[in-house]
Amino acid sequence: MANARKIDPITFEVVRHRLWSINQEGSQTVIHVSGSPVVHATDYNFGIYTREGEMAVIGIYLLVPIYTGAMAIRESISRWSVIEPGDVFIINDPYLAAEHQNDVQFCAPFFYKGELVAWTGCMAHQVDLGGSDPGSWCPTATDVYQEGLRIPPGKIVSAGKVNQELWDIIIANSRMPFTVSNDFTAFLAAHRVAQERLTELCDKYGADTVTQVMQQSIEDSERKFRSLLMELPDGEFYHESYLDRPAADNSTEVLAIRCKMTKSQDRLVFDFNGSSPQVTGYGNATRAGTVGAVATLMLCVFGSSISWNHGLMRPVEVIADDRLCVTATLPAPVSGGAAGANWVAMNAAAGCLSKMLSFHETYAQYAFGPGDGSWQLAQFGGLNQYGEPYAAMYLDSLLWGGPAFAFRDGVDSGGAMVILGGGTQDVEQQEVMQPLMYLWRREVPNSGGAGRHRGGNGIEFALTPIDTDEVIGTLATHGVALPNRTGIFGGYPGSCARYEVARVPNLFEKLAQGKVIHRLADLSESYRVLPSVTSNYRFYPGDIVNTVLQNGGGYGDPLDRPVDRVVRDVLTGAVTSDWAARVYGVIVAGGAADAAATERQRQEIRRQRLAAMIPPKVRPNPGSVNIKPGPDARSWGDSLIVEWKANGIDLFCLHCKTFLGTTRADWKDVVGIIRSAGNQFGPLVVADNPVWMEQYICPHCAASLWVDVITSDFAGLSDFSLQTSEVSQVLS
Amino acid sequence: MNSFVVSSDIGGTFTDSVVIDQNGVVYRFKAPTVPDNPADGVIETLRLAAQQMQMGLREFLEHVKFFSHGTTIATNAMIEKRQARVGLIQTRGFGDTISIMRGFKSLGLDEEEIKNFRLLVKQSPVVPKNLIAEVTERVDYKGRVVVPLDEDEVRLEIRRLVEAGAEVFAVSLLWSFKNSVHERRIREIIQEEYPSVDVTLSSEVLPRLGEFSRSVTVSINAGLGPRVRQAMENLSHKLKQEGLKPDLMIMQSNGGLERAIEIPKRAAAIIMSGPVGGVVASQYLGAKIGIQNIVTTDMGGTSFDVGIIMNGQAMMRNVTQVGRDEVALPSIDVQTVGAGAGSIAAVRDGYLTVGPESAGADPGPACYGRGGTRPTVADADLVLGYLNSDYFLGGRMRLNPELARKAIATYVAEPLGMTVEDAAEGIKKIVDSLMADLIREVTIKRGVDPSDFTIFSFGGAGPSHAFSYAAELGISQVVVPLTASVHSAFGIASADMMAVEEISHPMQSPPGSTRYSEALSCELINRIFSDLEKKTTERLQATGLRAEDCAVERFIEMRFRFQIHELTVQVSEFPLTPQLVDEIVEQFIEVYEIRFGKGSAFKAAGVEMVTFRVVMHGGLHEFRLKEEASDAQEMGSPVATRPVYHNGSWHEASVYRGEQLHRGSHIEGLAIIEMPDTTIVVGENQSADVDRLGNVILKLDV
Repeated sequence: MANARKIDPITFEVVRHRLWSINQEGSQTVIHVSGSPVVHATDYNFGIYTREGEMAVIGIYLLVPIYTGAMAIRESISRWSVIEPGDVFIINDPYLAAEHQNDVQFCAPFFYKGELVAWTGCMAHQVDLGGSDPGSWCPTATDVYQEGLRIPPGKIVSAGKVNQELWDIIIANSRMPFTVSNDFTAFLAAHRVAQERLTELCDKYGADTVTQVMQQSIEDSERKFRSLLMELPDGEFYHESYLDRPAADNSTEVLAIRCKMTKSQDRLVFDFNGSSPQVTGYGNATRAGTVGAVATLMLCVFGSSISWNHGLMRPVEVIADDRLCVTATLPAPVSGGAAGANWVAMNAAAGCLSKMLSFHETYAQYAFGPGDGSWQLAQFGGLNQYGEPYAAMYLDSLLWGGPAFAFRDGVDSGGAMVILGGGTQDVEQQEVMQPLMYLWRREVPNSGGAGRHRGGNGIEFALTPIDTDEVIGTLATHGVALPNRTGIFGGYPGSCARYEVARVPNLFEKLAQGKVIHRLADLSESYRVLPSVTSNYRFYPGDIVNTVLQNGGGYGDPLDRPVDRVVRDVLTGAVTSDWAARVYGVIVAGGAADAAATERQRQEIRRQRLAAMIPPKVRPNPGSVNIKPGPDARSWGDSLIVEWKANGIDLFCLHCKTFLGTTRADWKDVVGIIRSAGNQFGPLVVADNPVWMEQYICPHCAASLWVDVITSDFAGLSDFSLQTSEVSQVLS
Repeated sequence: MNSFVVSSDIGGTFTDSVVIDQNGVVYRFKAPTVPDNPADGVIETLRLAAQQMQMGLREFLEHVKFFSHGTTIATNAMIEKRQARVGLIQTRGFGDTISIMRGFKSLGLDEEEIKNFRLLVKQSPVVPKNLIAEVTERVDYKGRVVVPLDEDEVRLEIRRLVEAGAEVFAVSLLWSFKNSVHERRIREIIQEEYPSVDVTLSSEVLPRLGEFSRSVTVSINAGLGPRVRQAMENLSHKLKQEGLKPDLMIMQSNGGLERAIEIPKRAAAIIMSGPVGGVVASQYLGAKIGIQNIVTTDMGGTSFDVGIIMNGQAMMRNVTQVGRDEVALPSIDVQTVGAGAGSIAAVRDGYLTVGPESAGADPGPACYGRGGTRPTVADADLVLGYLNSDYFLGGRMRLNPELARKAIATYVAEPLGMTVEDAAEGIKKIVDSLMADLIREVTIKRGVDPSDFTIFSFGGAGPSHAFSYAAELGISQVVVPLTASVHSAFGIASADMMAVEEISHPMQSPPGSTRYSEALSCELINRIFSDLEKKTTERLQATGLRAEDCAVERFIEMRFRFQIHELTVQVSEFPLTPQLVDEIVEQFIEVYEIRFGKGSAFKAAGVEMVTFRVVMHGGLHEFRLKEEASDAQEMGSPVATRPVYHNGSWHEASVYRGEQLHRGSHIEGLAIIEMPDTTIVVGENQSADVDRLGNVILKLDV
């Protein structure tokens, strides 16, 4: 297709804008017709695909399914010899082309004058498709058969005729048949609307032109992406991330997701081999979800300067053997796979990308740490205050803090990467629909990771049953025993996820007396932190559940954060004064910083770091301390100056410019290490057995260079190993 | 005795005034806007009017029987962040409502910006955190008090806020529209502590479900109050001083007028004061000439504004965006895209794009010769022959075609390797299709086909582009009103007095049942409507209107249960009976399926009535537009012909002047009609006729 005839630039612009507006109309139709609160909170998307099933136009809501939509179309094309006008395909099989069973996709071929021109695809998270738990997110399932209905690719509409038997089978398996049926209707309405508009567009410009505009957009993006990649150094980059899950004996099991990214010329290969095998419980993702997550990352990292479409995936390859936790196969349970190991894989891949991008002056601005930590499922069901059955997934869990960048703080409460254009509903909207009253929905101080730029703080929300006898909850996540949202270049991790419960007998009587609850932890007798996965938890009147989200990691050493920024954080309540002193070394009194005390405190923190430091494995020989970086040296994020030499790489601290040593292996060999627990980095950071935190510091100035979670079976690969010749090439 | 109806409209660049005399003759006046003292610009246009009437300013104003005014004061104050500092009081546990923003970091951004994750951040909240206080209290979804108000704490908190700099107060508590007892008590306490400080209650300004919008809106309203009051008092005072007798009336976002002295209490309700004028004018004119379904299009220098009139009614919306913030008060729906005469054309990655960047009024398009070097839509129009370089704005401004050609050659033609003419035509095609796409979006979103509508085209640049964006949409008729260049001001002159009151009171019917009226009590609905009507009646009676001279319209915002998006259904008969309630639901389902397609209605879920609204309006003043008695004999031959570049070649167009037009004039395209303040283009296979009011009506061959 590379040599397709060029469209004139005016027609191109006109048709491109029409395609956008058609896609938006399709998207709007889904949200208007759907009766599902989950869809209204934008856990859905709509896209226009080429006739081969490549993403041509992409909506802005939940991103991962946009790529699985492309997989779904290609799956349909390969399985069906006859595809005709009026067909609509359905699929939710996670082993083939979906994140998890809830994500039902409808893909419709678009024909013009009898010829296949394009596809339209949409997905929306269905509120319930059966399985052991209301809401079909079955975190305690041990195989896929205990989970929601799995729908292989099939025609839900065949040549314009609805396959009523299939439709009825699906909704008969749902606890919320009306809502599911209505979502399906919304899908069909959206396809109809978008395809009518596409027909009009073809009437005016011809199907050839429309096809070529889509192809050309994809080629443009691909070309730009490839030339961007050519500006970056070739080499291997490594990042390891973890997923904590409850083991049988109430202990924590840790799955490792290991990503080795190889960048050569204009190609990127993400290799997840070496990751933990699939498990017979919560945490797995399928290949579809993992590749979809990598695609999401490409859109969010590189899509700021390049149009969103399949061109951003053409230079990318994802490698992983079957039966890993990121490529689970039958019969592994995968209903949590929308936000399980694939999100952790996305984080590991983001780590690799940051390590590469940060060698480049301009693209260092693109780097960020793990974007999204864990989906904190808060799913409730039973009978509502009107005596009717309900199942509600609280999208409040989306309101975590975003990652910090080299040039800005993370977004507070709403920094999600997987959904850029979405959010949750008003408290009042939730309370009129579900028999749960909020006690608070508020931002949590100190919850974003500290750094030169701070990770975004996130929210916590507490609910208690009202006008009902019982509420059944499914609460499941990871990131409880370790932070998934580590910082980069010395930034600290964001807070961990937590579900906490308490019980107050005669709660409403006490509230009526003005006895309000400020924190659940104050209710010491009944206060309890739940394990990461709880299924079928029954809440009765007086019970309270508080969901505390996992938040963004910082960027750079917090001691480098300008004092006035820290003061502002203290004044707005984003950081408390005790933690401002503890991690930022800033002493705030009477609304302003005490400059002298701050200077002393920052020095004291540096002193403590050096005192706690395990000295570097490799020391430079004493004669070399005065070595200065040469002209070919380049900086790496906030942390290092790196210079490639014949005998290895020379490393300097970027903060104090001191020569750290020469190594052929890992840069971490020449710096100091501090091993510690999570709560050194923030009040809500946990790093419990079998994991711990490692902070890498400059042995001279004590600057924080990197902070990571580590397990005993850390594979220990180097963060980067660049090809020397490539480096000099790029530098010239 | 002479008596005049006068209206003025303060825009970004010009202040327009319209004067309608007792014979129904419409006069239009323009003067530069005086940003530091907008009242001066208004007075200047009135001086021009007095001159025209051969009167002194005082004498003229003494003959004004009705004076209405549209203003951008509220919008400007918001954009320039010149509001009063607001202390916001919220329910304990929910003080972060406006900074959390329901998690929507994308709020107020377009798709392109949303796709840029790296730069995707929230705007700063309308009230900073140190000016927000939480107070202990809680009301539940049924309006029951769960936690009583801690009054001592309220006192402490308001003192703290004042010390922190609060100049006015906004109070927005959860479920206050179901039970406002705590909000009212807080106001009493504030008045005890600080008797002269303004307090805005969410239960009064916006008693609607949804605490985020409510808190933002009530805060914006409170912050605008003092500034708007000052502007209203200033203008009223000046006009009175110069001799004006009647009360100053102000255009509200809802398309109706209200007395200036009432406006500061609802300052956020005049944010769309200016832009809605054009829609109201089109509604008025449409009614006069028998056109019920209208797309109003206003193409100015930087933006293209679109409104919709269906069955004679201007379409409303619940939310207006200012910057990235949303004001949730009912307003006439005007949608905007950054496409105007000053929109800049650029080549990016080998493709041609137009806007949203604009050359604005200064330096303006390259052809203005004021130092602008980048090519704009106006430059393309000039190169293509649609504009006359010697007769722009009736010859008051000379355009320089060479500068236009140079700009297009440098920035578009050469990079793309095409001729200047082809490049200019490309610019025009793209901007026309951007405008057509917006019209398509706003009509289709309402479930209607744009080709069933008549386009009303106004604003400086609209009439020279309407012939092509209308054709692109398959629209068969375009009206260019006589008042095209001051259409907004004319709308402000023609508007009714209006009062709108609304309240949320969610009520549901159970799933699976179609006996809606069993769950949705008509007695309750009647009581809600009667309460609202009592308030609107009081407000209009205070203006001097009699209730019997006012029209009352009642609306219900409904949805299928578990849905978020609501549709508004008008109640045709009142009071309601159970049968009428069932009919309303049926009507809702019907409207719903018109908008979203047959079979899309989610009947099984049951329905929910959420918000009830009463709109009451009536005219305090009347005028009749002058009509030409009969068709003119002959309009005379074209003053010239001129080549126009279209579809890759030059075509001869007949050129007419505005003064040649009279009732019954008929012009065949390709033709250009040069009016003193705008240019009308009649395309090939199109024709234009002049009606009895002087409007030019384009017929498109479709």
